[in-house]
Amino acid sequence: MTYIAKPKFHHPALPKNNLGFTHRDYEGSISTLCAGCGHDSISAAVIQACFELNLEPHRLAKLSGIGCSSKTPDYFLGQSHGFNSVHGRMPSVLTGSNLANKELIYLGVSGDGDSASIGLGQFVHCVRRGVNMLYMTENNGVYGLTKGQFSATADKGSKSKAGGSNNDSPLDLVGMALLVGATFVARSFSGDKKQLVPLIRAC
Amino acid sequence: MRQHNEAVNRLDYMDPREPITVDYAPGTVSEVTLHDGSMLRLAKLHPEYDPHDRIGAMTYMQSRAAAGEVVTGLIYMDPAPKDMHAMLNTVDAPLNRLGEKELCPGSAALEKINASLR
Repeated sequence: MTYIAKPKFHHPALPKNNLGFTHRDYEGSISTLCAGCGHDSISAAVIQACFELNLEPHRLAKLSGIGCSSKTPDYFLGQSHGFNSVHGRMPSVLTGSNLANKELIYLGVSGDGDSASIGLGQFVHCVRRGVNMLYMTENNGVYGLTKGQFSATADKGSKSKAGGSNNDSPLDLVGMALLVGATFVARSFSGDKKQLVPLIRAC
Repeated sequence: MRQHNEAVNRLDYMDPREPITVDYAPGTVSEVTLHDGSMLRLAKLHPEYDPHDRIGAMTYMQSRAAAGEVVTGLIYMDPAPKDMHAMLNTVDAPLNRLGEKELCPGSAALEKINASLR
């Protein structure tokens, strides 16, 4: 449950980074997502990247919208600034925060429902304005929280859990980011930590 | 009362699954079976791929997508990026550290700005 904090104790020999933090200092609450979900793998990669980068947790701001992906900031960087905004509106809120204080490191966490449907306009304008942030879209092609409807990124011909078939063409957020002027574009698979962690670090 | 009871939702249960992990070399394609049985064809970018060419990146992405592959890796990096603050020429200090004088420079400053727009 998200309101149950993880126990603070840890093995005394746990490796520390240059700031004296262990990776436990970059964790958040206990995840309530389905066991085996790729979102938790991405959260683990964010924790590892921030630990390795020796980032001070209070210098980070994590913002999100609504959805499985947008719940995940609760599960990492528990000592950082956080804001869970309205569905699809994370880019606007983050842009405002960034304008007011550019000294923070901004991490926007969103999903295919949050960024490819209700927040598509927000996504595009945030990218074309060059907001200095890591815009992370955790894309699984499905609305997990509402039990499995197709999202706008689902492949044509995909089958849903209920047996339906998707007849709509998919949106490609990576292609769209390139088209509207993103300065750093990368993609990885949630279960490929060897690739995902360096990409998060690089951004 | 009970005759008006209607089920508006149903209980669902998600079987616990193991996280899916992959490890494949740059320049190769890996087929990953997801929890629902569907398959992803992941294509990791070759070490010699040039991530500084935006048009090349778009063309490459589309050609691999047409082949049913999902390209992974650093797809594009602008060698000379400019962010929103550089384009808007904003002040360096966070707004909460500015005093009243900086935030509200007065009517003379406003007059000067207005005059520059005429």
